[in-house]
Amino acid sequence: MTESSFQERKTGIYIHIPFCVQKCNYCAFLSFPASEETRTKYIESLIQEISLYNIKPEKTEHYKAEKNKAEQIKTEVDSIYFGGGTPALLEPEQIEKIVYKIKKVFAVTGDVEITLEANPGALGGDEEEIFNKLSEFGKAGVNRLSFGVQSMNDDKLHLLGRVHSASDVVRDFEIARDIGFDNISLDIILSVPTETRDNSTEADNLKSSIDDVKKIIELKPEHISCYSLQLEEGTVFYDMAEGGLLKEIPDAEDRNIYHAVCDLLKNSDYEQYEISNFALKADGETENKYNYRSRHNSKYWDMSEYIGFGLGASGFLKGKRYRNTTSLEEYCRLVREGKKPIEDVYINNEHDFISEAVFTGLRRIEGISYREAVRFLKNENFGNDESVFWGYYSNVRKEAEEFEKNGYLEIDRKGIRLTETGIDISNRIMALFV
Amino acid sequence: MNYLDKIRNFSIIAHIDHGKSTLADRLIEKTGLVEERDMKEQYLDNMDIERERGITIKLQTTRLAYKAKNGEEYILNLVDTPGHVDFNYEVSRSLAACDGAVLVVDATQGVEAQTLGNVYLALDEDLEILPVLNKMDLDSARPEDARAEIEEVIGLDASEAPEISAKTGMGIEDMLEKLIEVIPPPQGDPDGRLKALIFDSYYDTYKGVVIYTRIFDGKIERGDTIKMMNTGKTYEVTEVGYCIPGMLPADELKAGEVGYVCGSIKQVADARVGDTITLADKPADKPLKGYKKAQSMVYCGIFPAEGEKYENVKDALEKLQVNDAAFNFEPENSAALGFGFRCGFLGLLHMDVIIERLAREFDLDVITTLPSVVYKVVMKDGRILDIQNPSNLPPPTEIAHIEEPIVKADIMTPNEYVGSIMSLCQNRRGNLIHMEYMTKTRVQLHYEIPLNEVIYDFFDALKSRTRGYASLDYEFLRYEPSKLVKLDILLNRELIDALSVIVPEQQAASKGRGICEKLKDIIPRHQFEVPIQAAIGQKIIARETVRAYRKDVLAKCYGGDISRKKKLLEKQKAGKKRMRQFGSVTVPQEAFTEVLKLDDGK
Repeated sequence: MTESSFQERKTGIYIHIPFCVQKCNYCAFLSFPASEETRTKYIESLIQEISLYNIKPEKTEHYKAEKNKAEQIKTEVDSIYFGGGTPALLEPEQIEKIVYKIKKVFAVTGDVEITLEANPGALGGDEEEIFNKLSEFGKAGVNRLSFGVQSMNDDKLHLLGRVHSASDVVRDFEIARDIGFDNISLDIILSVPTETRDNSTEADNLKSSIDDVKKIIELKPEHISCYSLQLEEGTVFYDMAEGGLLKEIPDAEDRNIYHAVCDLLKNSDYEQYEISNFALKADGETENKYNYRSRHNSKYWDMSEYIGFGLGASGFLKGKRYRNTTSLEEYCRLVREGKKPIEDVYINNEHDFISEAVFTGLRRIEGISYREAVRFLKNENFGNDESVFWGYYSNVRKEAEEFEKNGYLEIDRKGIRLTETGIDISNRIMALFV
Repeated sequence: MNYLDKIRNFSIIAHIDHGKSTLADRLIEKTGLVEERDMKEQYLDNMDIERERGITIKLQTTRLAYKAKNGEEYILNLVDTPGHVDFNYEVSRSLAACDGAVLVVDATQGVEAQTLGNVYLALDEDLEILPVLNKMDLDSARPEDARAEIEEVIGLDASEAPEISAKTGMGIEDMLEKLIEVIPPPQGDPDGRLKALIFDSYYDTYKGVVIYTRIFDGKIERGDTIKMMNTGKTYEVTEVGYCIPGMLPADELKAGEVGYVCGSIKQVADARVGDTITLADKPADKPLKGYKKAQSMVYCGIFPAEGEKYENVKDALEKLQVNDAAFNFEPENSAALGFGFRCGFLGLLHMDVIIERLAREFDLDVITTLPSVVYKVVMKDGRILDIQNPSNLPPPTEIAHIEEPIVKADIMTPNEYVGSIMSLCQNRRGNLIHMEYMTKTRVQLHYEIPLNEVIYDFFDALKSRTRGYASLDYEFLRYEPSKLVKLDILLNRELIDALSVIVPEQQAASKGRGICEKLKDIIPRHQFEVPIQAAIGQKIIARETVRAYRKDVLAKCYGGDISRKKKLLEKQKAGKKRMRQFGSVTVPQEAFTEVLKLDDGK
């Protein structure tokens, strides 16, 4: 990528919908069940929050010129992502209203990617209901669906605390295809124990995750995300594990599962482009005009700007990282008062920029190029990008080379990237650069 | 009326958290000379560490003026006491400076074990004790139960114990009236030969050492040449005065009074707590009783951590020493840790406090090694060596035998924990001398036990087995021959001298296993396998392996919450800074102090 193309990167918008049918056992996200009334009130606040970014032309005699100017300086947005929680619980009209508002306040590109996290089972009980709801979402502008499948095994789904079954996944997916959604992502959680007690063998555990992945490959989604189960404090799973009710799959086993899954996907026409993300390889015909990588998530890994709207949402805008309040009451109050509901703002310094570029960039399979990292250094540094980069990181170069020697990291003239085994210990390598 | 009749010298004694410092604050506020706006919470605890731990280490003393209901104005000297077993000697000297003590008992909790230790110290000094019931503002206060306990357990008449709340100020007046009635005025002859007890001292940059003292006989004024009766050193007095608690210069201090004395003294070791001040040209015939030389009982190595300068550590230690007579150090060189210092302390808490002060007040990053006692090594050629650093132990072939220090340990406990304490002491090579029932439910156990067994985690183990109810007091008894060996630790087949320990031969195998297991938990996984071995001489007696790491990956990036991820990585990186590199093995600094905390009760 050239320097100018870094700057041409457009902004993404993340909309957080903190509501769900019931909290899943592994979930540490900000979400909770809520009444319809609360949800309606929340959407109103959300739309008000988006309006706060409106650039109002001054009402002078040159109103028209001012209006044009305002139009020109609007932030360009090419991705909108409804995450949660379970945003599919919203009414399609609510999604439409939000999208409409975003299109008024921002300069939304024609090819905008609008993703909705649609959890199976949250769309309705019978096929007609699901068909209608998904169709309406499509009319509201949604052109990419992300299904939180998590597993294709009903016992595991039950253990995870999901409200859906494996057959719901197939049903919802096929309905979405019938309607014409041609960009669908499926999420799956690896290394979920099949039993609450330790009766399963290593081979059982491996087979169980592989079976899950095989079943979703059969559906041929355009995108697959695979995350290893992670026990987060404050979740039901965490307490279960603490209490000995849940036997976590050991690290070494999990890594075998992960690599087996990566191989399986790569042999099934999927390209791994990030530690946990896989995109269907585009046909020759569509190669250049369409790419199934998640445009939105890619923004998190290449230092693009994104705005987070909604409760507890994070954003990265004009060199500042911020996070909205996590109190619903506070959120609604601040927005009502015409204030941005931001709780935490951090202004990135030079080191923040470069270190974030490196550690987020390392999540990508292509790694991070020196050019991409050193562009954040303000001072004119002599030498090529490679020497500037290692000049900046001279204190950790030896350790990085140690990782290279042991086969965890690739270092060449263009940049650095994790190897397959390096992914397993990515935190240690990333920590060098922060 | 004699001036002495209007003075009361007293201490406040209490269990931790029973409200000593709050009461002191209230007294200062009610009667003292500190303006309310200058009041900090808990005025007397002026070190951060003290505030945080809720314990008083460094003494403070203050003069209060109280106009009693009989119309007379009294001078009340409040002498504060430190509150931990390591500082029992200091406590006893503070109490010796008083004529009475206020015993604060939490009316919601009753008498607790630690209270007793201090009460006995006070009774040893023949002090009158005024019990008071604190926290009476709380609904859970049970004054009658508390009274009954004071009478039963301590044997003090508590029927008239004032009921107060140090927090709200309730009952403070009544308590002060009672204090004047119960605690006797000091006695002494202002025209006699000077005898003044040093009960505390600290170093002031401008005045040199400031001595806190109680005058028993005679008087002291500026220009006098004073002599420390135990150390024999003489100084010219540059200033005397009262503590309010700031310094208020006065013309003289005379018998019965409490105040401070300055005399361009360079370090506190020259004005040792417990020493007697007299006049050089008209000395008293004999010093006050009870003086003890500061004796380091516990030693450990202090080394600059990665990136810290040796000189900075040295400067800081010197500054601390000026102010702490009980602390000493000398240079030491370790193959594993480089240049550092061997430091001597009164006990474990004293050690913790010094180490924490190095980090906080001097912002230093240091590594501390395992604490050790001083062994007397009798060589075959008849020489006797004092060894406090295991690395310096001569080869076994040259040693005739080794002697280790034995302490007399007194443990006071509710009777239900006796069994548990006995098994702990037995595991620690303790020898029960006798056991006595103080009351129906309180027992005192008298043990002789090697100091070596007390210094690691004995106190923690005792507390955890007795839910904090047992109290421990120990003092040095004698040296005794013992079968001891040096246990070495090898990481990745390399000997780490700073991890060597001296242990009883019969326990070597189990200790070796324990240390290896502990290190296995402490040492992070590396890119390769790290063998951990324990050895006596050439013989490997235990082995564990830290497996190579397989996974350290955070898969999910929470909705673009990069900051969260970054914090995790920063924490990981900061954690690494607290590591020490030995060849290719990285060891967290805490390994050097944690490794022997092997509570056998688990």
